[in-house]
Amino acid sequence: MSEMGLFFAILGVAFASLFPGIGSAIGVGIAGQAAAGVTTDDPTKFGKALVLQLLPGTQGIYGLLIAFLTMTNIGLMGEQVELSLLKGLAYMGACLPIAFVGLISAIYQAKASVASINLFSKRPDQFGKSLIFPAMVETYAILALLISMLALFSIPGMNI
Amino acid sequence: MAVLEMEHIELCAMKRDRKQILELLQRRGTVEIRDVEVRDEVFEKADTAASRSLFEKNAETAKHAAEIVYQYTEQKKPGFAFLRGRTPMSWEEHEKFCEKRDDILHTAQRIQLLEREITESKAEISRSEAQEEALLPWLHLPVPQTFTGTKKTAVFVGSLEGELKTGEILELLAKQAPELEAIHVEIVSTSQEQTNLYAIVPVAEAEKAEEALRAIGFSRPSAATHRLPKEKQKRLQEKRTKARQAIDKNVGEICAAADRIEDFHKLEDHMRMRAEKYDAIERLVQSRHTFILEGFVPQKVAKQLHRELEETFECAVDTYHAGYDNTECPTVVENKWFVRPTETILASYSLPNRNEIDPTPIMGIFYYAMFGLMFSDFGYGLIMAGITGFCLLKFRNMDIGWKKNVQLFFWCGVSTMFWGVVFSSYFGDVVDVVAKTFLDRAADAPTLMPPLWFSPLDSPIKLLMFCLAIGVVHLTIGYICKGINCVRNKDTIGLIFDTILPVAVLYPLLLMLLGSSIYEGMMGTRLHLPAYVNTICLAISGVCVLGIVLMAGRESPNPVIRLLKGLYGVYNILAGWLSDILSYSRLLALGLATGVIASVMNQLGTLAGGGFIGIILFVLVFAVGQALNFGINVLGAYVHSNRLEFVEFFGKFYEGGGKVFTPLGIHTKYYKIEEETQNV
Repeated sequence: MSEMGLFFAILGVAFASLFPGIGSAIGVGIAGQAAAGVTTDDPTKFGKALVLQLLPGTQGIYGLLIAFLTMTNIGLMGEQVELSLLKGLAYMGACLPIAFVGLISAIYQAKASVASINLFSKRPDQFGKSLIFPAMVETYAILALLISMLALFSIPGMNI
Repeated sequence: MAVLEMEHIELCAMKRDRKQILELLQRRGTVEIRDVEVRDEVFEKADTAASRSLFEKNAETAKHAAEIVYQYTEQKKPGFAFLRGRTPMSWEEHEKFCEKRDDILHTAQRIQLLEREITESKAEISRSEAQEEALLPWLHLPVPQTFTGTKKTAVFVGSLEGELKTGEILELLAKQAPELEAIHVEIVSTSQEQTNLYAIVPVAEAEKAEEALRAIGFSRPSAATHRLPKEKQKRLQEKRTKARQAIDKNVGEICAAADRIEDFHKLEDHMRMRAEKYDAIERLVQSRHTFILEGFVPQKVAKQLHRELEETFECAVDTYHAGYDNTECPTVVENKWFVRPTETILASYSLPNRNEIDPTPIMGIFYYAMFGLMFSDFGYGLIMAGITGFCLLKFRNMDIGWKKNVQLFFWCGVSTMFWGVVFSSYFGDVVDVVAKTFLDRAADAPTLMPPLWFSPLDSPIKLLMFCLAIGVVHLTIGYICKGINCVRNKDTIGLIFDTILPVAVLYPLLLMLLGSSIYEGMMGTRLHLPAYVNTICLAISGVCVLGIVLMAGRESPNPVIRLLKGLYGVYNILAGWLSDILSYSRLLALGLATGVIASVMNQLGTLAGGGFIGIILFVLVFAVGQALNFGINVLGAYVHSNRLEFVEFFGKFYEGGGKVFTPLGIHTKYYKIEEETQNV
């Protein structure tokens, strides 16, 4: 069992939980300020403002998901598995899409969320549409999640 | 199942019947009244703003009165009002209520007045308390604070800063005015901050004494009274007692109205109804004895209404088809019970315009399916369907808007349960985890809950293909809808080149993909097609591409630009197919996320192993973790089901822009006035 392999894999775990987590924290924070502003004017909008605030929070969850999947795969959560240097690097590579896209998309999604919060504070009947703009940004986080996830599923079977 | 046909209604009647006619229309709730333009001098419009604002004000009074009674009788407002909905009330009951409405309005106004008096009395009490507070240091003063002296003496009442004794004060005075001899200082009270006193001097020395006192910081009391302090205190106390009595009396009177809350609610509803009616009056044009009303009514009730109006009143009614190009005509969609709840999703995007089909049925079925696929956990679905199902059974009077939303989540919950069984997710893998950790099941034993179809974690690519296939079907149906709209609008060229060709390009290519080695690499199997099938497929796609190149830029007269636009059109269609289909991969990603996060939570819960502490930890982590995962994923499933419908599906054909139907009706808050109202 290569120690360097384990090291890189854990580095990947760290990336996957660090960056999207940071992005979501920033994003939910930014959107939260706008949501609080709208709730000041009209407390009945709390529920819907909260939904819009939470939208950039999903990246952190996706990151966590990939981090956990990697930890399970490299045997940190159960039985030990054989891990070569190359395999460790592969795990790290698999973590990178969600790590970076998660970080950046959460921040930009938050900006779209802020705009949507403003939209629905002025036009409360347009909540359905205001939900879509931030969701467009999330698409790319989901695509990154998909690639990270598919890569993670295929690495254990690789002969490296 | 469709966008309802609408009729235009025109009515001319005698003004003396106006009230009854409008009331009838309001009770039927099926006519949206149009703003009629004044066309000549005979007719004019009525201005009802004053009456309307009076009704609104009365409604507010009733609402306020009910709130006051709630507050003082400490009754709890019934919670979940949105679930309970409005209490049914017959029209006869309502008529009976109208007889005593002035009486109730009077009571409501009286309660508002009582409340205002209470507020005033409370202010009075705190004011007098502050006054007494200021008076306390002066209680032992034998004269009023404003007392200035007798014939021969001058008296100064006031305070000095700091805690001083008589001797110290006299010393200070002696320093300021050595010539001042005959001065008597008496301390009334002292505190750390100030000394309250009065000084007596002969009249002749008054000026000098005042100067000296000023110089050492003497100041007169700010809110001085001309009464003896003790007497003033007594008066203040009496005033407070009186105010408290007044409050008690008013509170008593308010509490005595505890059983009037229902009446106040009825009054509020009644006033809002009348305001709505007067709003309608403003849209009519009227001459001295007649009035004209125009509006829209759904065709299915038009005939009946027509007959009813003509039989009941002396009036002329004309109803005729509103025409599809009438931009003012509102849209009403009507669907069967299963997909009806998803009308709210459609409405949150836009209602169909009157030239297109109602996409609700297809949208609804896919909505449920995709929501369930993304949420895909039997446990979560059970919770969702259970709670919403309970609400539907328990609160039968639920407001129609809320009812639709609750029904929507009920069916989404059912679909979630279904996919949970198909892919074996029961709060993630809780059954296996519990069995292995707490019930001594072998760690490598096979799962207790085998999936109905397959486990997504074992073959994610298979699920990905399934999700993309759903996308292909969904998008193709989108193109079919576009085709139907083209046929309705007799747009043959649009039908062929914007609908049939883009679909015809895709399917041969898909067939080739299924037979390709790329597909075999991913799925381990492929269709073995004879070589000529591939050739035919290529040929069909090629012909379609050629058609699109020639026709996509058909608006441009310049052949070069037309050709370039055509090529761009091909690129758009192919890139569109690719990105739209791949977009459905979110079904897989979010579906897996639900199951995996749930399993992760279960795994975290077992960190302390079996045993008593282990069980406690597991229960805690399980409850919190699953609740968190539920919340995050229900949000994700909702948002992304909407997205796939709005962006991918509607993007293919839907124009929207239909006007919301807002018929004159009884829009009340507490009571639903029931009779043969045909609400649409």
